[in-house]
Amino acid sequence: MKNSLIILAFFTAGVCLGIVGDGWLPESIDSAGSIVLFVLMGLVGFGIGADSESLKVLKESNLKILLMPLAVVAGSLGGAALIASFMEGLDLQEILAISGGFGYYSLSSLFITELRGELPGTIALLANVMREIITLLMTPLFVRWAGPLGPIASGGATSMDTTLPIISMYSGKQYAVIALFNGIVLTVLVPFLVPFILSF
Amino acid sequence: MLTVIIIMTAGMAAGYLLRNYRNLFRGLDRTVSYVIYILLFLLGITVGRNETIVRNFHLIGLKALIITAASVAGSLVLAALVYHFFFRHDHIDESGSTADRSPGASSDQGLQGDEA
Repeated sequence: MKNSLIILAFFTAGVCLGIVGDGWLPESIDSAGSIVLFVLMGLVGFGIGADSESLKVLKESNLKILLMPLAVVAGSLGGAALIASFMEGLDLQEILAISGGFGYYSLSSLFITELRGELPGTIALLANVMREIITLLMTPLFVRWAGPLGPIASGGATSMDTTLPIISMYSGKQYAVIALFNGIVLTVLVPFLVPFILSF
Repeated sequence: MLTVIIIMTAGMAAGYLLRNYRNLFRGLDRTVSYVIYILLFLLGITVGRNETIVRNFHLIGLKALIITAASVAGSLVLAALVYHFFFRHDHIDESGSTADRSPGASSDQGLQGDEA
């Protein structure tokens, strides 16, 4: 929660500066973003590659536990596809890509901005921050509605860190491993899936 | 977008090869968060300069909420199904005791087999 608030604060500060500074800020800011994004991607990959813990969790998985991230991918994209026809101003690919951030707001919004522009990028940022906040607030309800796997699915990529404490509290500690696994798989998947969805 | 995937994969390979040099990774998470802050600040500036977005911000928030609600709802439905068919009879206790093989679980076992 704290992290997403910091992110939103930086974003809002940028928006304010953009509104005020329109006209005298250099245009090159827009292109500087893509270079920083490439650096970020290298760093994120570097960290994942070296993280023996996440590799171990992935190795020890059985087929059944894979159903969890699979359900999140199919459920999120399926749910988003169902409402796509009511959504003006966004095409199906953009809606699927926004949904395919699975709560990983920083990376998915930056990708979508890079590939499709700042309008879908901004929606992606808000939508994925909301996913984390909704999970933090509604986990008790989700457990009642959908069982102990509910908040893990709702948390998506965040189920490995920010929403893990509340998930293990309401679903039970025995589900923490599934939550961790789910979060790791989705976190690794997002930087591949989002560009993939937008590549058609 | 291919560039991004190549950079990411190269980073993962480099991280894996250099995983034993712990010094390289000290502070990596913090560096990553700072880079993310910078990027979102830059994204904010771009958004702030875009009058269409600023004027329609309430609509954008609503769209974001609808997409998220639909995604979460879809995920919850599938999570409930996965739990019902594959995890319900497991009785994963905190004590770590073994799975319950009650007669009622037999149909689930069959389903699991099909999946595998």
